[in-house]
Amino acid sequence: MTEPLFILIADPNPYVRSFLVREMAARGYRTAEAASGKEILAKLHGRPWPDLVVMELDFPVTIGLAVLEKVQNLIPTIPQIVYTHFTEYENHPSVKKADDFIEKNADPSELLHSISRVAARIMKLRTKPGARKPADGSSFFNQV
Amino acid sequence: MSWWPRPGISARIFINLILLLCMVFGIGLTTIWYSSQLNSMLHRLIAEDMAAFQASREMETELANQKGFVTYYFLDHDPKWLNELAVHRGAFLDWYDRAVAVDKKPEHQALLDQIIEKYQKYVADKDQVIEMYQAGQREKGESLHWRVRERFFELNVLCIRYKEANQDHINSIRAEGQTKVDRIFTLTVVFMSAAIVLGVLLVFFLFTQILIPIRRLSRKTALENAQTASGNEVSVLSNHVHGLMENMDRARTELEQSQARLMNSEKMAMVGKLATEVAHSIRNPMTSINMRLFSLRRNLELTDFQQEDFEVVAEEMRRLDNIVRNFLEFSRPHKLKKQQILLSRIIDMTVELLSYRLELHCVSVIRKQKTDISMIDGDPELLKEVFVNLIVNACEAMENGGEVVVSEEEAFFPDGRPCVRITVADNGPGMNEAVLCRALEPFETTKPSGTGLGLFIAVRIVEEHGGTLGLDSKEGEGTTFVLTFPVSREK
Repeated sequence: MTEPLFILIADPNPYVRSFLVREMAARGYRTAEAASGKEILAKLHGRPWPDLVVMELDFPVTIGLAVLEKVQNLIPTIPQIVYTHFTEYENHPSVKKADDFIEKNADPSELLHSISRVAARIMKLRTKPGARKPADGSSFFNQV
Repeated sequence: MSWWPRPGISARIFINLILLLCMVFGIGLTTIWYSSQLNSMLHRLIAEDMAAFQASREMETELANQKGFVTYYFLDHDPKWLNELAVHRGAFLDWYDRAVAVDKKPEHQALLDQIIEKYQKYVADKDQVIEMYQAGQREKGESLHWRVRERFFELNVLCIRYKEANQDHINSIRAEGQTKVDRIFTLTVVFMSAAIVLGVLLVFFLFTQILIPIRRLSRKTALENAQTASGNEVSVLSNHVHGLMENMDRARTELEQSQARLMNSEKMAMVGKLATEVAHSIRNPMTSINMRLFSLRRNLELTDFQQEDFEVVAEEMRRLDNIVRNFLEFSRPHKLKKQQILLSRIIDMTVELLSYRLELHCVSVIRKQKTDISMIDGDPELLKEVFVNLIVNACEAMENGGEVVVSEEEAFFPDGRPCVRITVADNGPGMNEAVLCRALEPFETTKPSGTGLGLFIAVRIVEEHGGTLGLDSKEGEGTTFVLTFPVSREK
């Protein structure tokens, strides 16, 4: 039995976060929350490491794009899904580097589809022969 | 620096012209004066002096002619000699009378008096000599005859003097005439030289102060306007000056317009910034609400009424979301999600959406639909926003209710392209001219709680569809919006 995917949900709005947590939990994912750029970076430094970051770009203090770029510099291999209503950033180079860009709206199904696509890819890597089970059993990224 | 103020060009030319005219008048007047003097001199010369001169000459001749007859008579006693003498005496007196008549000069008169006095004595003595001869006193007569001869010579001298006096007089008149002619000549030469100098000065002034500057200006003008410099430079120049004045007017209008545009664009920059801030801070919680609504819809079992309430909440949330989106559109151009649509359908949806509000304001919407109206390419959400704006405006304008007539027709743009024209007319209080002028500008609102952005956004959306939004209103007669959209090219 493989470990469920561990997703970091980064959004300044607690109600959005709690909704997404609920939706993802319903699909069997494990989740962690981050309310600011600082929290995201803290979560990425801590254990367990997330398998995937779903992040808004609209953060009040640190600009979302800068946070995204920091995440990309810190752990270039971590998959990111940008989930925002800042549609004007869709074609920004840093956003293009992310695994997916989804416009935030009421219906989370598009996000969930995207997550399952990324999850399938991660699962494929995990079940690859020779792939070592993570020591703490949490993240694929500990092996890389 | 001279104490005398330097006169202007026009004064200089004027003075010059006046002087020139004076010269011409001077020449004319002097010539007339002198010629009239010469004329009178000539008349006098011919009428008096020449007559007197002739008379004097004739007197001398007639006197000379009287000589010898008495001697001849003494020799042959033929009375015909006495007759001849009498004829010449008569002639002499005739000429003397004429001389007295024409010659009024006092010195000549004195001379004439002397002549007649001597002549009378001479004649009397001669008659005596004749009588003596007739009486046969030859010796006595002869001696008297010698004396008479002396008298004759004296008289002859007087006559010659008189003739010479006349000749001298004529000579003096000729000399006087010559002097006058010389004076006229001199004066004319002087005046003419002065006139020439003044004329040259005038021409110089005209050239240097007026014609050359005009030519220079008009040549520049001709260069600028690519006209030929030939022909009337003044008209070229005046055309150019008129052109300049027009240019100035145009420049001023453009300046005013650009100032207005600048002010407007400053306003717009502010709007953009504000809109972005507002939209961003509203959008996040709204997304959250929408998510929860979505979740509720999935899980709730609702009664019909509850379902309707829920739908209204959801619809209004969607509309709110659209409004926020529209705010955001200020900071960047719209991305139209165009599709072929029937405007009729969009208006249906708008009216449906607003049914509650229409009822609240006691406003009824009257549709004048046209069947088979052309489709247009448009973004349904944005167009719905436009009609919502117009109808809500109408509702808010008509505080005591009323009706909004929405009519559809096919028409043409001024350039001939086909279009769909929608007219939204209310029978509310209308607007006065001042409000009407600014109605379509951002932040212009008469409503206490209005943002003043509704109509502005509507205009922008319609223009982004390639259409136009016009507005006409009269106070007390309601307001009419006219929207035109190009017809879709795809069939």
